[in-house]
Amino acid sequence: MDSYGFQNNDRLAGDGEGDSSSSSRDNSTRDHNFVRFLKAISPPAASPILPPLDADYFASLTVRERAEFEHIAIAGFPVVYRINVYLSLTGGFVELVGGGRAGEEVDARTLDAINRDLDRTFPGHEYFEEENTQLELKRVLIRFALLNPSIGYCQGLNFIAGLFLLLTREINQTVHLLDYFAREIMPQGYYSEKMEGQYVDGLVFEHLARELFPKVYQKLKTLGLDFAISTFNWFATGFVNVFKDTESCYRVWDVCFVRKDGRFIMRVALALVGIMERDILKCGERKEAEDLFRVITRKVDIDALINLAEGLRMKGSFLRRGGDLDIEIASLRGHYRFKCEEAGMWDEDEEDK
Amino acid sequence: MRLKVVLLGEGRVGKTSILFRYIRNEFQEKQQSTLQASYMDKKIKVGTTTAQLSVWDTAGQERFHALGPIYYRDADGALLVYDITDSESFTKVRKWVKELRKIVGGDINIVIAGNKIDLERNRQVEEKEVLEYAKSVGATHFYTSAKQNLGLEECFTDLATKMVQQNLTKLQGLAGGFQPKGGKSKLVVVDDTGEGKKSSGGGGCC
Repeated sequence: MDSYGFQNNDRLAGDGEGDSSSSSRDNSTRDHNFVRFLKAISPPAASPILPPLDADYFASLTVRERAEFEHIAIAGFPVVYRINVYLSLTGGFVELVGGGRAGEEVDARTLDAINRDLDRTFPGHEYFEEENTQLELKRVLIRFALLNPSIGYCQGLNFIAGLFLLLTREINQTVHLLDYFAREIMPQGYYSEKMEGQYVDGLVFEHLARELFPKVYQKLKTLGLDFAISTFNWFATGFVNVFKDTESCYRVWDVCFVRKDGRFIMRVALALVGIMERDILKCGERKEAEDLFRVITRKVDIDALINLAEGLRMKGSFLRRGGDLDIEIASLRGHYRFKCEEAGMWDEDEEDK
Repeated sequence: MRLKVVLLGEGRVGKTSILFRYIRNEFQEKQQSTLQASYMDKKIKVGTTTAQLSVWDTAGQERFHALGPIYYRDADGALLVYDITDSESFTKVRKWVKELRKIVGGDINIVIAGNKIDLERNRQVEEKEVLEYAKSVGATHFYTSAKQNLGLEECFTDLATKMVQQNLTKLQGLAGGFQPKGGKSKLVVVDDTGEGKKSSGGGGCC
């Protein structure tokens, strides 16, 4: 069981491969750096215990301070401060979210979809088994649906909401964070009716895997592995339920929240491909490669992964454009979205074809 | 012979439980909702043919159909699952049949499974309606319970039998095309995967 109470094993990942006991790493230096940073940018606190970070705690940072703060995020936020940082960075302390006002009701179809997932969100976890937690999760998802009528409810949001609820233990803040995550961190249309954002990201991921790891790409193509299918839940939930422990998932989110942008999720996915390179090249058949994709995330050291992801750059001719992977991700998202739209992929009348 | 089967149906009807029960004989009372598409393999014997079934499982929510084609495009068969205690889930079966016919074509073999038959007392879906519907679309219907391991062997065996027969017929058809005078070697077919796809199979080879 990890430090958040999850038995994070994957029934399909093979026996004993999932290491669900999180190593108790020593985070004292990291946490110390975080506290030192906060003290440096805020008036000296009277007590050694820092106050909760309020709304615009980070709003007035200088460029240099921002850069330092990103470094701190990459090292990971201290567990006790994480939720305050998330809320502070997203204006969650001041902005009272709407949705769910008296008389507002979600449509029957959305409600039905939500109800189907309430007791199937982290079953076996003590907190999520409580009836009250499931009721709170329901309120969160309903209010999210009211805030985002173009989305309503999409499977996967339950897990993301769950990990926020676990940190906040409170409905308003969870709605706020879920809304922020779906709107600001994830690209457009990730959870919409056509899920076009996820489809596009599958194409972007495959494209970048080819650019960055051509040998691996060739091998996987030869084996017949489908990139989008093999990595679907990495992208759909921003790595919930994917790593050996929950902290690793939050670590990826830390970077996303600081940057107010989810391109880091794409970077992490690509870094995982890089880490698997040698093993993939040895694969004899598709199934082996598919299993690697499931198993690698249960084994990988999150610090190494995050550093690798952060260091990824485009190669070759892209260096002329600065080699910036984030720029490339954004431009490819635009490119593939346009191509799909041009092909009429998400047109309402599929019958016309 | 490799055959691909996709499990389709509304969320929480029991697709993942069916998969684990059928392939590994495991059942978990509390099953997390499924997001990722994944599959497990199982060998099955149909007559003298041994087939390797790859059974695919994925998220049930309707909007995931948008990503569906990458998942079910080359499927030989579909097991459409509904929950007998959940009438809404049966209406989704109808939707799936339409969608499969539209995208995959008439070729795909379809079996319908009414799951959770151990909860017969809470039944909401009328048997008569189901059986008539299954008949009207040319699908077989089985009652199953992943929990009590009921009906699954029958269900998959029926589907596998249909798929194997269809495949054999196809192979014979192909072989026949190249062997107008009752030839011997079916292996000739292999040559067809090469370049000259466009050339009308008439006089090309040999």
